Amino acid sequence: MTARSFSIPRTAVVAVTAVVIFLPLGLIFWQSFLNAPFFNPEHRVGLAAYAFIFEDADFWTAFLNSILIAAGMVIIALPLGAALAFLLTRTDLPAQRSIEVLVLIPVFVSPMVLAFGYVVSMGPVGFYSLLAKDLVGDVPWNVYSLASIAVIAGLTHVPHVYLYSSAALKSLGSDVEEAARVVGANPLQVAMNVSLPMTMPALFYAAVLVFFLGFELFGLPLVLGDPEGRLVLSTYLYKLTNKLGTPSYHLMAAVAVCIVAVTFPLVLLQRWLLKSAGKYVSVKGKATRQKLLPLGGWKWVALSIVALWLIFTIVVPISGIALRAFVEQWGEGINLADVVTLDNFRGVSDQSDQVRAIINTLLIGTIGGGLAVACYTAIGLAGHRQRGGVARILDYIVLIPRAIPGLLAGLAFLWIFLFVPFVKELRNSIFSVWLAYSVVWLAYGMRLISSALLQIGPELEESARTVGASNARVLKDVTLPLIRFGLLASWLLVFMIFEREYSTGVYLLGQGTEVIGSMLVSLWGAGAIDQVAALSLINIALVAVGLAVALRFGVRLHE
Amino acid sequence: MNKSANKLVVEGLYLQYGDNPILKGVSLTLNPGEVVALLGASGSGKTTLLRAVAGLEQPNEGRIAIGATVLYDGAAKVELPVEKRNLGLVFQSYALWPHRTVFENVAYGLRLRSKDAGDVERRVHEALTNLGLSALSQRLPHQLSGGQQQRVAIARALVYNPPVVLMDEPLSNLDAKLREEARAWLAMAMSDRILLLNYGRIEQQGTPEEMYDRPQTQFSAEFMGSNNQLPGKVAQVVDGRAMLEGDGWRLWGTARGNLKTGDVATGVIRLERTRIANGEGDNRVRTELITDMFLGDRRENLFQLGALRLRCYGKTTNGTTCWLELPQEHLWIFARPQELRSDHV
Repeated sequence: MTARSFSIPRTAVVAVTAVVIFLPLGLIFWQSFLNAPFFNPEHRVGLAAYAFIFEDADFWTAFLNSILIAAGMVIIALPLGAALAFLLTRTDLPAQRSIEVLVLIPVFVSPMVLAFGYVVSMGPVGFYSLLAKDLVGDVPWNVYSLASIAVIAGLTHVPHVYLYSSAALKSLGSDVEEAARVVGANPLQVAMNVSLPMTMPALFYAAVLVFFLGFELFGLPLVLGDPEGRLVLSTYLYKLTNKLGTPSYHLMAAVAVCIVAVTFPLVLLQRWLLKSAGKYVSVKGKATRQKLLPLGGWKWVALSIVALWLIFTIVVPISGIALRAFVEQWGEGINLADVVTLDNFRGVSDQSDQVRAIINTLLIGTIGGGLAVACYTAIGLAGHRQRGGVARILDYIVLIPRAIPGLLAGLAFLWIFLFVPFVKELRNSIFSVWLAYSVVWLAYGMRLISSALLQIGPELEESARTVGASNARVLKDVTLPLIRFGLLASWLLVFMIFEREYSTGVYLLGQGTEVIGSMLVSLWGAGAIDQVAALSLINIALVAVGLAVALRFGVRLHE
Repeated sequence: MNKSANKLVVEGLYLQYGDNPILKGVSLTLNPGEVVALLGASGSGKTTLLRAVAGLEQPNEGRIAIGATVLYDGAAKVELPVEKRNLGLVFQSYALWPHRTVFENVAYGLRLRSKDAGDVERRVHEALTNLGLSALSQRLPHQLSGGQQQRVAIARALVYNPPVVLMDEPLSNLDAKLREEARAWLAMAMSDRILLLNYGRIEQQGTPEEMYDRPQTQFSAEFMGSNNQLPGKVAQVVDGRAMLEGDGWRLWGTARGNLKTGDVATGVIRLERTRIANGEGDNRVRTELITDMFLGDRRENLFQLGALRLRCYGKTTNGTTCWLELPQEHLWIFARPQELRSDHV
């Protein structure tokens, strides 16, 4: 195909993509340099907003907390994720296939739900806390401390490290390790001099990713940091309104810009790391069978560590939610049999907004997910086999939303839906939430689409061109049919991601735009624990359905 | 290989993956200073044999030793770890470490043998210079061409003077289009000795001359060189000679293996031993010329003999009818025609 072919559909796709990305981002930037909300006629340009937050001690505490938590997460998640990847790709650990599936569950459960799960299981009067109190006479932990937040966040981000390091270990040809053995290195020397340095780029990438995710953490610190008043940057931003009592959009925008100032370089660093890792891609060669390291008696030790991790990150929070959803109340001296009830679910079904939230969540996952995949495909195809400027521009602009945490993107879209003519009317429709979700997850979706497109050899399309098919016909007759399965798989993954999303909808929450995720944030703020428990369980069930379908059809759970 | 006076001896090596036997009792000896080529069709077990010697595959039985050092002994349950075998192995994929420079790739084996830094530097530079790589020592493998990568892999295997250097497909990168047949010619030109491997067994071993001039089996005969094949039936056997009979022709040849009258057999003769004769005579067949090709230094002709096609070099005389002579001493008659795999003919 020609290097720089101009076509109207392609240009339109690129233009629309640019608008939905740059408009909200631009709005945040502009707003941050005003001294009042931009719709306030009194506003003037200046640095007043920055001056205000930089003088606020809470801002700096929150900033420091964000960095401490993010760093703590890296320290915890990196060695565990790498060890898990090693165990699952290079050793004869039993039950590998089941563990591989279980490992990914924390990725798909909403952090809001997980955080709530830890509160009801391990909080001061949580199910397991009281159990521990019965056994040892005291609750030996405090989930509300900064260290606890970092530990919980770290353990729930182990899968991210696992994904990247296992991919690196799988692509590491056994021949380079064998070559080291032959020249005289023992297995430990092989690990230290060859395997580890060669997986280093992946580990470094994973470390940057986890730090980045830690920096934009919202649900966990919102729920777990609240009782002891610990703020991180995102929760500081969220609480700004309460702090001043008036919508202080300019201050929120200034905090948002500060967050993006940290996350955007991290995204660029990730991209650079991914690119420079290319030189470590081992020489082609024949695929030799990987020899698995026999663990011998150690396999049970390894298996128990993995099992402990799975219990802590999946069983504990989810069992807590499941229990809490079926009891009226919980505390010391309460007998489980006395408080069992279905009232929590009745409570949800009595509230029209909560029922709407469930329906909207379903719609946004199924129809919205399908539409999002269609949009991502259109963007992917616009850059497909293009070597010119268009592809380069697309390559970078789809990265930008990656740097904007969902909470901020939701805020920016709120402003757009409040004040931009013609789209104002859509403010109270679920479309606003869908658009924000689709933009926030653009980078993720594009990775799914491009990995599907990468499966097609260029000669398949080129041969169609040579036998006389136009660009459009090639698309319709060759490209799309070939990525069909990849698109369906992407739809399923986007469904799960959209079911799980919560922070993006927070500011967009209103009559008609309720989704379970933002509803949980709002209900948690209002202290409606019963309904939070019931909705959390429903949310878990929705994600579980997606997960079950994905497993049934053998969809790879990561890009 | 080098000065060490140790022989590499492999005895009765047997190796299987699951139920699939790859090596079925391979025995061979490599003498000091000898260049030995291992030939065989793809899937014949060449790579597996090299890897088993290096210790990267676990044989099921047999014995491998270099001089007095036993590398593997199935009966005595001895299995020296790979890194203790002190061998050089050049991988087919080269397996250069992408995170180390050319220098560091080559130096690694010396550093593991704790040579002092100056010695390492000197020996690595010597090895790189010998292979024409001295200007590239600070490059990373991905900055090299395929041929350069291969030479780094060779330098890496030679630098610590292992008693035996094993090379897996060392000619594969010289010309990717080099076919197995052509590699057989190269192996003959380069090696002191050739081992021909066929489905996990050594089919025949010997000097290139022995392999070419006195093949013991039809497989050996056909693996090297260009041949005419004449399937037929044994009509007569007289002390070491046999008469092969086909559709309208009878030829005397040298019997290979046990032949009895009535056996199904195949006559094999090298193309260059097949001659255009000027008329009827002993061991000659009457053929029709189908076509001829100009090859530069000579002409190759294709003849028809009943349903058979025969080829030979030389200038044909007038007309399309030709007499070909297949000298008795060069026409080998092998019993029981073997199914030949198409990928090496």
